[in-house]
Amino acid sequence: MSSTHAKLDHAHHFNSADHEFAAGKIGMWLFLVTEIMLFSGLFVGYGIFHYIYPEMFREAHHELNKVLGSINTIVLLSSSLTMALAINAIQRDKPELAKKMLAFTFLCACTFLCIKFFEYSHKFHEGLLPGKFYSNTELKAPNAALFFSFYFVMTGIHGIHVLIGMACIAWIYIRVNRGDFDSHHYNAVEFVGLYWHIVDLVWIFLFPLLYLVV
Amino acid sequence: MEQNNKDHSPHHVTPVAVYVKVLLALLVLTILTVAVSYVDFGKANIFVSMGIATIKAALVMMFFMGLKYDTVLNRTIILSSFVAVALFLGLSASDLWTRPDIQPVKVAEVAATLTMDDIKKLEISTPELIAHGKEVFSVNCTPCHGANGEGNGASGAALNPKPRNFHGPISAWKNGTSTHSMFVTLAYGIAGGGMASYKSLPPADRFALIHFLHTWTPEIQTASAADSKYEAALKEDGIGAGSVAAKATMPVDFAISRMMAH
Repeated sequence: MSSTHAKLDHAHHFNSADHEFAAGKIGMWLFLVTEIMLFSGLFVGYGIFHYIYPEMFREAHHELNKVLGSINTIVLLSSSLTMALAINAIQRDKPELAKKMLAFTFLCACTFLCIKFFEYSHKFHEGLLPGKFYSNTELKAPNAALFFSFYFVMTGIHGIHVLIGMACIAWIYIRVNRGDFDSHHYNAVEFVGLYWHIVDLVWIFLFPLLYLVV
Repeated sequence: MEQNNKDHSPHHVTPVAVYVKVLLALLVLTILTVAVSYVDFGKANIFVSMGIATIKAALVMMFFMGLKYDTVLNRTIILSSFVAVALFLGLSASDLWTRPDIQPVKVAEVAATLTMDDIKKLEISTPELIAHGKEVFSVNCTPCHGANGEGNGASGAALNPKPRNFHGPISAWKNGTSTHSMFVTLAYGIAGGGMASYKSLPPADRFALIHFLHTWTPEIQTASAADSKYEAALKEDGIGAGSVAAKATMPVDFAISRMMAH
């Protein structure tokens, strides 16, 4: 039997495990609202300056690799599937399958960050850096550094969120391995899942804005 | 453990097939996102790309995040954040999209440095220059020299010697009343007195002021020590042979006229 039977079914201030789960979920959704607001500040800032300097944004964004950006999009979308499948596996009391799905999600996240590492390296090499560190001589627009300020801050903060997600996924993997969860007690898995989907969601918007300027 | 399929339970188990289909839809929409970026819809571009992204986001939220099977409260919570973002975007757009098209203006083109020919013209009094000079006087000079130029302005009360009474005896004028010497006075001020340098006034304004003051005080063309400094003063404004390039400051009236234009 899973070790959850040795633990309390739910914290004492909740009526039931289901109650605890539902309450935790509300809390998680409230946190995700703050994540949306965090990124929205960056998106609105981006929108304002893209509107003011459309030519510069168009020219500068060609320095980004659309293929790598598309691959990263596919990688993150797939990782959302495997994250959902991990929770599905726990819901059906299949911890071994859950571990496989969590591992695959983790690997997708690694792949995403590796690709970003290559992208960032290339930009460092070309002097396509934010603000005062900008040293590229190829781009014509004099204020192209502004685009790269947005690029690095937006993908950077997103990247930090990916890293945090990886840490959470690794922690959940360890806990699944320990037998901490079953089909009625998997709150942490669910909430980490929700967090991971938001990370994917932010990228869904970042990708066309940064990589696919018409 | 049997699957718990009741919709009001917090443990809705979505079939794996549904998840896979959602991913396939997301991948198709990603291909569409890239494809559509090669087509120019003009002003609609951003709406097209963000529209597709929103559909993808909706799929992720409804199915991967389980909102379709979740409580009204959770749906309301997350949708409220998108309403806030929409407000944030919409109000910013209502500012940006309603601004008139502003072309950057090169200050050097509009407020070009005067040549000696321009100076020769400015040295001759005209009704327009006098009228402009009156405005310049009322803005810059009345605090010390008084509304009527009698030297009785409030700011000048504490000065010693008192500000010049422009209706008084000409002999009291330190530098004399010739155009050149008055130009020098305005450029450098009076050493040891309260009269400051008015280099911030563009040369054209200074000439206008001088012509206006000559309606109160006649111009006596006697040579004075100040006259000899005239050429030097002009050079410092960037006018004339061998002049120092005028500092790249924006003339105040130019700045004001640009501000008022908007």
